[in-house]
Amino acid sequence: MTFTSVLASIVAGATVVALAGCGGAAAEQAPSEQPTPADRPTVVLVHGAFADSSSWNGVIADLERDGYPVIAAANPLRGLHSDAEYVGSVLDSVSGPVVLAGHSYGGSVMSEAAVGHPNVKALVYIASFILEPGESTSQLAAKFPGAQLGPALKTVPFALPNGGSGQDLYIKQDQFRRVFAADVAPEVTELMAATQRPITEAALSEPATGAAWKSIPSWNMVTTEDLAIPAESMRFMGERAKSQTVEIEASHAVTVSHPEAVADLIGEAARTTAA
Amino acid sequence: MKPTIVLVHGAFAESASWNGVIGRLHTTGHRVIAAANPLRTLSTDAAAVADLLAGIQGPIVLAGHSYGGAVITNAARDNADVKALVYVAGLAPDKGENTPDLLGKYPGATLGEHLYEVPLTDGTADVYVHQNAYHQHFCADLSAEQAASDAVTQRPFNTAALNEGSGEPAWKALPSWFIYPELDLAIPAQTFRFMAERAEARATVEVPGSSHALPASQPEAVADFILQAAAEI
Repeated sequence: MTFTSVLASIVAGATVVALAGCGGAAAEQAPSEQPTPADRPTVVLVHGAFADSSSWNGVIADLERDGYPVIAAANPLRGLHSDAEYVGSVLDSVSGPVVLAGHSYGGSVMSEAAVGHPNVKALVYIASFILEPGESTSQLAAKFPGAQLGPALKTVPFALPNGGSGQDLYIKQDQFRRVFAADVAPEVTELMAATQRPITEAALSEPATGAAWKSIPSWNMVTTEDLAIPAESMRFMGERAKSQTVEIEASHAVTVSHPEAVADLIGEAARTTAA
Repeated sequence: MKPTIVLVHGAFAESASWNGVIGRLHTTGHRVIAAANPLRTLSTDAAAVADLLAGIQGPIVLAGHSYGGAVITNAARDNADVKALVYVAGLAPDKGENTPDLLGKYPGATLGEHLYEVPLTDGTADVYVHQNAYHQHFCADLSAEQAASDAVTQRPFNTAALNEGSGEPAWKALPSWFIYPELDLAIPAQTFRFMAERAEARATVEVPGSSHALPASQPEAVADFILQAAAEI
C-alpha cells in the first residue's frame, strides 16, 4: 500500500486501522488501544504558551521508564475554548483512565477540556492556572504583583479568516531566559526561544467556561522563582481548588529544569487515583 | 546585514526537530526563528508563516522540512525579502498539486501504512504516526530514546491539509536549494530528485543513509547547506 492510497482513503473517510487489516499488514492500534499495565493510566500532557510539546521531553522519558503510556497534545494556542475542544478530542481518542497534566496556559485549557470526560481521574497543574469560570488567564497572571513577562512580549499581527486581524504574542528572544527559564542552561534557552510557539492575545483574555477541578482531584506545583505567574497567584488558585500543592524553587520552565520532580508529582497523582 | 533564517517544520514533528540545526546556525551569528506551523490547511499554514515573515526586517532565507516545504512554497510568494528557499526533505509542489499527488508519484514509501486518525469536532480528523512505528518508518537513524520522545511529541496534521492544491509556487521566481535523505520512508528519494530538477535547484545534495528526519539526524549537513544558500544570495 502506498502513502497516497492511505492518505486518499483517510480523506475518503475510511480508517487506517481497517486498511492496514485489508492489506494484510500487522494491524497497529492507536496508543490508547495498546495493552498497557493494568495499573497505569495514560498520561496526557498539555504544553503552555511560548513552548511546545518538547518542553515535556525530560518528563516523558521519566514517565515512559515508569511504564506510563504518554501522549503530548499539540495545543493550538489559538483560543481557550477552541484549544479545550481540541484537547478534548485527544482525550476522546484514549480508552481507559487518564491523568491530565498541564503547564502554564495548558492548565487553563485542561480545566475546560476535562469537563465531560469521566476517564480523566486526576488533574496535575504545573506552574499553571486553575481558573474559575468567568476568569481569564491574563487576569490571574496579574492578580498578584511580581510578573515580568508582559514587557518582554512582542506582538505579530495576523489575518483572521473573517477579515479581521489578531495578535500573536512571542517572548523577545533576548528576554526569554530571564523571564521564562532563568534556571535552564543558556544553550538550551536559546533553542527554546527560537522554537517557541506563539499564543494569541485572545486566548489569554478569553474567560473560562468550565472548571473540571471542581469534580476531579487536582495536584498543583508552585514554582517559587516564577516571573511569568507569581507564586502567590498559584498558591491562591491551588487553595481555592483544594489541590495537593507542592512548592519548588524553580523558574516557570520547571518541566525543563526539574523534569524528575514534575514526573514524580504526576506519578503520585496516578497512584493516588488508581481504581 | 546577515539574513534571518526561518525554519518551517513538517508533519509529525514540531520546531524542536530543528534544534541541532539552530544550534549550529547560532554559532554563525544568524538570527533564527522556527515557525509554529499549524498543520491545518495548506493555505492557512502558508498565511500564518507569511504573517511571521512580514514582521522580519531585512533578507530572509526560508527553509522547510517535509510538508513544511509545501508551506514555504506558498508563504514566500508575496514577500520580496525572501531571497532563498531551502527544501530539507521538503515537498515543492507545482500549482494545483497536493501532498498525495507528490507522495504517490514514485514507489517506496512505507509511512502511510502506519498512520491513525483522531476525529475532531469540526468533522475533520488529525493524522498521527503510531508511536510504535515512528522510529522505524520516520526516523530510523535517530537513537531509540530520541525517537520515543519525538513520537510522543509529534504534532499531527489535519486531513484538510492533504488535498488542498498548491498555489503559484515561489520556487519559480526564487532560487532554491534541495537537500534530501537517501533512505526516506515518508517521501521516496526519487520524488525529491524530480522536484529539485523541476525547480532548477541551484544545488542538490543527497545525504547517504539518512532517514526522513534529516534536520534531527544530520543537523550539521543541513545547517551547512542552509548557510551555503545564505552565502549565495
